Amino acid sequence: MTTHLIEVRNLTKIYGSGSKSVVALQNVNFGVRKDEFFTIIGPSGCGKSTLLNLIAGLDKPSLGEILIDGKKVEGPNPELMAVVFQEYALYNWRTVLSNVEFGLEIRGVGKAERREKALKYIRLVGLSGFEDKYPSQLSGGMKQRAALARALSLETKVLLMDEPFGALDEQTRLLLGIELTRIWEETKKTIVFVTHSLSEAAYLSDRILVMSARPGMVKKIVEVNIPRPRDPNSDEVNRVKAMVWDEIKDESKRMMEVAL
Amino acid sequence: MRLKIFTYQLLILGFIIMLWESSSKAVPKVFLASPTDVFPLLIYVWLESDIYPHLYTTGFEILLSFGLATACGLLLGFILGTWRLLRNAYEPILSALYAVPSVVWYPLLLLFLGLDIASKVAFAFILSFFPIALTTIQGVSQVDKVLVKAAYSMGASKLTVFYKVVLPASLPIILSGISTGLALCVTGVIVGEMLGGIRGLGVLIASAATLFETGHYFVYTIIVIVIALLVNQISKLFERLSWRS
Repeated sequence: MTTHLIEVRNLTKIYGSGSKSVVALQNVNFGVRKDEFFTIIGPSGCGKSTLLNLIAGLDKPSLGEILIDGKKVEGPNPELMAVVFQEYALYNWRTVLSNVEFGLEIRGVGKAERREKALKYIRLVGLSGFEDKYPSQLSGGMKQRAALARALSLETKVLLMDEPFGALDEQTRLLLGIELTRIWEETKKTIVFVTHSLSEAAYLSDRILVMSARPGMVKKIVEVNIPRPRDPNSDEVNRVKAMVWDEIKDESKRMMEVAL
Repeated sequence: MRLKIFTYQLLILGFIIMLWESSSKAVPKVFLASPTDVFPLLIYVWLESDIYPHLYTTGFEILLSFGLATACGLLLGFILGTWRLLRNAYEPILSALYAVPSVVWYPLLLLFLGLDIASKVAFAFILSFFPIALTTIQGVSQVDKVLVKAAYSMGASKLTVFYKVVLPASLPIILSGISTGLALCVTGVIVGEMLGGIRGLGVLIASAATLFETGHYFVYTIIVIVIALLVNQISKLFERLSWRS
């Protein structure tokens, strides 16, 4: 038990009330180990983003609890975890540098230290030279790099990523995945990564949690025992991909039938 | 490019003045004063007549009503913009009131506030308050939710989210509402003075028109046009400001 940094217990989330209520998550249990790259995958609408929001403290569970480092999550905790969103969530009126400084600014870090840290992480994500650009002047991939630098600058143990590469094209997605692995190895963090991409899950993760269609439940947790550095096109990665797909395809079908 | 644009603008202005001059020859002077009569009169009015107290009055009314409308519009806009229940309850009422031709309230205002400054300020206030409040509500309530969520995830308090995220994110829309409000303030004050007042440019225009002093009527109208152009420049400055900050 103590080996888990994040502990999710009997988690249930119900939206709405009465006959219109929707059970988004039902009795979800799992743990995330320290320094692990943990991926949550599932058919669209299975509640994986809801799950991440709950871990981030941005939403409250209906039942159950989440413990991080032994402490119950009661709300956002920027000392412990940082979040990266699919939509980048950059502030248009701020430059890249000032966007990356935002979290530190809220924390009350002094100007000089803020700048130093921001520049460090801008360099780490490969955005040096773009410090004074505005988000509207950046490509999607560069925007997500800036958002990643902002999250990293908080120097938290846990990094939560909600489909961070979901809006990017395949090549950018692959490239950023490779860089994320490098950054993860350099900074030693526990990453919880939500995705709907099988390749991403198989290539990046230590373990993959496969979720069932609504209501979201834990279907299976797949261990990925492939040594790093990994080749995204290797047989081992493809085998994991096939295995996850086997688990997920019935769920995806069920989800589509519900939709029809 | 700049020079070219300016030349074209001068051309159309020259064309209008020529059209004005030639058509004034075709009708009696009482109906249409010619530019050759109006411009010397303009200089005379500017240098010799007692127009200044009227200008001050009009200017004061515009500034006061604009200041009040901006303050109240922003305050109500921020409250309704952030508070969904209140917004759902009161925004439809505000929009409905905005759709009423404001001039219908003016007789009532004259009755209660008298012929002097107060009724003009109140009328211009009504005209400009609604667009400022409504665009502020729109701007504040339409801020991308993920921007707010991201700030909360970084530990921001509600107050910090408001002034570091919601305010700058909605500023361009809010400023466009304020510049609409400013233009409507000018309209409100001049119309109010024309419909009944003691001092002000609108009073001068109305009395010149009733007395068939066509030359003076045009002089005052030109002054109103100059004020409107000035206000338009200020509005543009507002909107340009929003993206630099």
